[in-house]
Parts: sequence; C-alpha cells; structure tokens
Amino acid sequence: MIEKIVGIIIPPACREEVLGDLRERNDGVQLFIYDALRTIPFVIISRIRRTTDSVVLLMEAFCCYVSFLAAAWVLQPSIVATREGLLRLAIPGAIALFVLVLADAYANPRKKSFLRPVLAVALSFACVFVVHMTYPLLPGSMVAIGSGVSIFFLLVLRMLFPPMADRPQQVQGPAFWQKQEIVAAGVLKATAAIAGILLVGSSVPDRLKGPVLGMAIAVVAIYMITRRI
Amino acid sequence: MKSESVGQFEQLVLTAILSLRDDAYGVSIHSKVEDLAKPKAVSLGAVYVTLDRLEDKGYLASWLSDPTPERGGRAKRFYRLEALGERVLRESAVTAKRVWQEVGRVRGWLKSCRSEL
Repeated sequence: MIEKIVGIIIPPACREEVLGDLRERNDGVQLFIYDALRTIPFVIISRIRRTTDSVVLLMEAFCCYVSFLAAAWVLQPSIVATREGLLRLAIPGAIALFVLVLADAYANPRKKSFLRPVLAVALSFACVFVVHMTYPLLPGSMVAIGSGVSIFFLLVLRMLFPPMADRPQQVQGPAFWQKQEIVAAGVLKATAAIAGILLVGSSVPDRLKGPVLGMAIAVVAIYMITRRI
Repeated sequence: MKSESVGQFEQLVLTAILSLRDDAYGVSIHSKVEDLAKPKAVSLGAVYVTLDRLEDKGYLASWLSDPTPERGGRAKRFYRLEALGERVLRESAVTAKRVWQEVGRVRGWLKSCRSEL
C-alpha cells in the first residue's frame, strides 16, 4: 500500500528503478518511508531538469505574459499603468508554467500520444482557473481572454518544440544535444541586465534615480567588458 | 573543441561505476560512492541526480534489467561508462595528480625554507 503511494509520487520515467532500489535498501516500513522522503525530491528535481528546456520555457513565459498584458490593455488599461498590476498579470502565467513543467516531468515516456501536449496545456490552464475561483487576482474576463490567447501560443510553441519526453531519442546521443541553444548567450545576459536595470530604476525614489541608474549601468558595462559578454 | 570537466562528486560516481563494472546500479553505486567519500555521508537522491546529469552529458549509458524478486519484482537500472566518460575521468585523474605533485613540491620548498631559518 505504502509502496503504491510512494510510486505515485515518483515520476513514471524512473519509478521502476527508484522503487526497486528503495525496496532493496530498506526492510522496515518506517525506514522505507524515511528513505523515500529523502530521495524523492531529488528524483523529481532531476526529472524536471531533464524534461525542461530552459529556452522553450522562456519563450512560453514570454508568450503567457504578453497574452495577459494584451488582454489587460484591451479590457482594463489602468492595470497596466501600475507596477502592482503588471506583477499581478504575471501570476496566471507563472501558475500555468509551473503545472506545465510538472506535467512534462510526470509524463510517461513509454506512452506516446499526440494529444499529450494539448492535455498538458489544458490541465495547466484548468489549474489557473481553479486558483482564480478561490483567489481572484484579475477580472474573470481578463483571465479568460488571456488564457485563451496563451493556450493558442503555447500549443503553437509545443508543436514547433515538442516536450523533451516526446522528441525522438538519438542513438547514443547525449540528451542535452536535443535542447534548444541560444546562439549568442550574451543576448540573453544583456536582456537580463537591461531588465535588471529597469527594475532597479523603477523602484528607487526620483532624486536617487540618476546616480543609481548610472551606477547600475556602469556595473553591467564593466561586467560585460571583463567577461566579454 | 570545448574541454569537458567534471566536479568531485561526479568523479566519485564515475569511479564507482568503473570499479563496479557489470554490477553498477543505484544501490551498489551509492554504497561504493559512500565508501569513496568517507567520512562524508552521501544521499541516494544526490547519486540519482548525478547519474542523470552524467547520462545527459553522454558519459554514461543505462539500461533496465529483468525484474528481480528481492526488489518486489522491480527492475534495476544498470549503468556503463561510455568512452567519453572514461576520457573525462582520465583527464580529471591526471589533473589531480598534477595538483598533488605541485602540493608536494611546495611542501618540499616550505620544508627547505624552514630548515634554512
């Protein structure tokens, strides 16, 4: 019974060997549970790392945020004018992506289905709606339109870049070869730096904006020059 | 070509797999790594994470065995060192040897300094 419960928590891709190892190492139930509690978080994190393509995840996050931003722009532009409003627009996308990452990690690689990407996206936005029902952060119409546009973008992205578990495995090929690569990693770093500067700039008082922004730009420039981006 | 390098824990896992030969699976690798890392305790989860990472890098290959009764009818996942993994392990061993030689040289120099004083 306990083994079955523990088995549900372990991602199916590595359930067989992890459960077998835990059973072999531990005779008693208490030891089995203790060992499982110590081991399973690592197994889940490792599976998430294997199934998540950081570049695709970044694209998905961007699509979700832009969708909710566009919905807010059309339905209630006052939300876009405040920093708190901009932050609230990121929450549904964050929830959806969190569920999507978990759905990818818990996908069974032995069971291939062309419907899986669609179901994973549908599940993630179902969770967004459940959260919205219990704790509404945005108007219902905004969540509905933002989710609809996000679902469309995510499905297109998933058709172009299928989840790692659904991609054909290369014979003897390291798995990271299949992940997307940013041609110039410096572009990503520069974008992150600009975002950081803007974030710093928006949160300091007006009289300190000049010196703080100047210092932030100088620090980033020195970093980029010394690391040659 | 970009040079590959592995961390200390990855070296321990690769060494354990190399020494276990045909019997390298989760439990046996973990106990071997614990032996090598003494007195440090090593968690089974950390071994799994490292095995996955090394497999992704192409240093290891894995396959599932037939189910065995002592494991409740569950299969074992066996690991084998690939050529790339062997090369990386050899390179890190050469680096460790070089470091140790340097330490020995500095120690000798320090000893000679002390004796002169």
